[in-house]
Amino acid sequence: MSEKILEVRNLTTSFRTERGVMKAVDGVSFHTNKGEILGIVGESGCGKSVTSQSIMRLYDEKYLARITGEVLVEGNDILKLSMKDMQGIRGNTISMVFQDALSSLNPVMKIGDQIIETLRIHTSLNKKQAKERALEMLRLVGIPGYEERIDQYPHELSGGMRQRVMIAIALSCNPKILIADEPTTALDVTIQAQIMDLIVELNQKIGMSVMLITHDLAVVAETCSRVIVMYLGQIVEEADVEDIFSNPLHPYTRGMMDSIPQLEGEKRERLHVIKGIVPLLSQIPTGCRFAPRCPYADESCRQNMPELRGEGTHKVRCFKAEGNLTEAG
Amino acid sequence: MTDERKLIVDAVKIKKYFQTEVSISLEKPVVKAVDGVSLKIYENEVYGLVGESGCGKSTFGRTLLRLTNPTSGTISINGTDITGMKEKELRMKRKDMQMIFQDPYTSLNPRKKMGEILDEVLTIHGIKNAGERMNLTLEIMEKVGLRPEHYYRYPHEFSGGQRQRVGIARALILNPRFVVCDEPVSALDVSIQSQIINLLLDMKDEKKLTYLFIAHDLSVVKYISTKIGVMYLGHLVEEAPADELFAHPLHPYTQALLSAVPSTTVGRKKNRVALQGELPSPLHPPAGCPFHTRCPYAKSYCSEIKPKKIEVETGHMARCFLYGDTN
Repeated sequence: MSEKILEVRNLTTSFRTERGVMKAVDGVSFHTNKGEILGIVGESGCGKSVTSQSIMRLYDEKYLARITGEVLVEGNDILKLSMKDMQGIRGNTISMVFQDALSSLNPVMKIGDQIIETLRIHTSLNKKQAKERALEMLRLVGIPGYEERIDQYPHELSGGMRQRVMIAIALSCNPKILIADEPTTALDVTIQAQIMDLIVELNQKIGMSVMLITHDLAVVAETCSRVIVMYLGQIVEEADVEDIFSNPLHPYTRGMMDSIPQLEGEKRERLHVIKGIVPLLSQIPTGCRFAPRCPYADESCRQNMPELRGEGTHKVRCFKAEGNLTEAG
Repeated sequence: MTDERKLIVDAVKIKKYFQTEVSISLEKPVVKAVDGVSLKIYENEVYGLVGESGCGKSTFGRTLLRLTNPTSGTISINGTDITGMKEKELRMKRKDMQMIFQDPYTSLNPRKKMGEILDEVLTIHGIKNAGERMNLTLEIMEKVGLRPEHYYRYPHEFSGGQRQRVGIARALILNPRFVVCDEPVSALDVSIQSQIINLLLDMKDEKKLTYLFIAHDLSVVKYISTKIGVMYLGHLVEEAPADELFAHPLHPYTQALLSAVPSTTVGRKKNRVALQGELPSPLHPPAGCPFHTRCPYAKSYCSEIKPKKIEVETGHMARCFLYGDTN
């Protein structure tokens, strides 16, 4: 049995907005095993980024209405920690890489100094040791000419190099968990391949657990071992990566897979379309949240909310899919 | 066979150089964004233009419509040479050639209702009767999947997908012949992306449109295009029918680009061609073949001589010495 390094139990995060209090994440429970790459997929507004921000407590306090549930890191609930104690978790235990490296890096500070600053805050290294560690990190993330680059500013680097610097900062204090929120979305495919290779390599080399948040199913297929699919603040399906691609059970998961054009094969028929759009958080439908867009929905789907259920590792939140689930095993 | 079809776009040796503004040294550095690109697009064809950021694909698209003037080269749209056309004449010609932008939010006037945005296009192009404009507007709205009540909404009241529908309606309301689609689905979620791709293809069939489809997502480009061109550092390095390009990529850059695309097959791709180094700065492009600094097959002459266009198979062109002698 694999060991859980991070466990989220019944996480609910709501924000105050002009239109009232909105639940961006609604009762989400999942875990990350030690050394695995867990993928969290879904479209804009599904709550995948809010989930990671809730774990790190990086939300805007001004708008936060309530956050409930538990976030257990090796058994300790970090939601109960004070913001000051949380500072000790960030970087040291859990680290994060964001989509836009340029706006996440300090534009007027040399990249080396940014790594050194992180190390000085989070560890007891002295200046000289921190600089050595910074050089080592830049080498680890594959920055060519890192000895000169350490004195450069973010604007002097390309997008891919900046994202490598972000990863170097995130990993500098040896975190146990890396949360990567759309780390390659802003990058070109050849650079995306390099960065994903780097994340996979670091995962294998230093055994770091990764939570990869993305909208790109192909990236998930190539890198993750387990996948969570989110829709409107809830988990709708959870499975091992092989199962989710060979036997997607939730109509939303299936719809998403069918709507991406395939690179292989000669298919030229019309692309599959999921009808309608993701409703606003202020207009969450009663019953199953996907029912208004689901081709299989009936009256009972529109009245009752299905539970996330399943035997073993494959779980789905759908009345119609449960039959298939038992058949599948 | 191809010659029987009507030629809609004929671009010959398009160059677009940008002068950088500030320079300490005496020589003024020039960015060669597009450096001698020629291509032809025939009626009802979807020409996919791919390449990574900074390769010049968007600049080329904008130059074709003369949203920016080429440094040299000639552009013919639907048989008319528009290269030297005066602004007034060009404006009238614009009804034949339109553009769909990546981000419909920044390309739609936030202070105007959607109906007004579309109505304005018709007014500029000389339709004086308000009732006729209203009819045409409602007609195109229905075609792109917008409801009549959307007429009175502002851009911020629409979702991303709907906003892109407005962008498409605005481009198509004048019944153009040729449309440049610059990353039209890149900002959209997958489920919305497929709706917009289907809409673009339906409109193409219904209105006999010709597209230049600029995108970096290769699976989308493969799906929508009939022919594909690959750009690298301002040069068109390969061109082939869509299926042929994916089945037999010839240029080493195309091979690396295609192998980098993740697929939904579970597991890491094994035979990925890793590109060495980084994209050179277009301020100091390498001499000879622009790709030689990163090419695994580069020979000494690659850094000296620019390879010519070689037709390796019928309709399949590559600019690489691997497929022909060194002149």
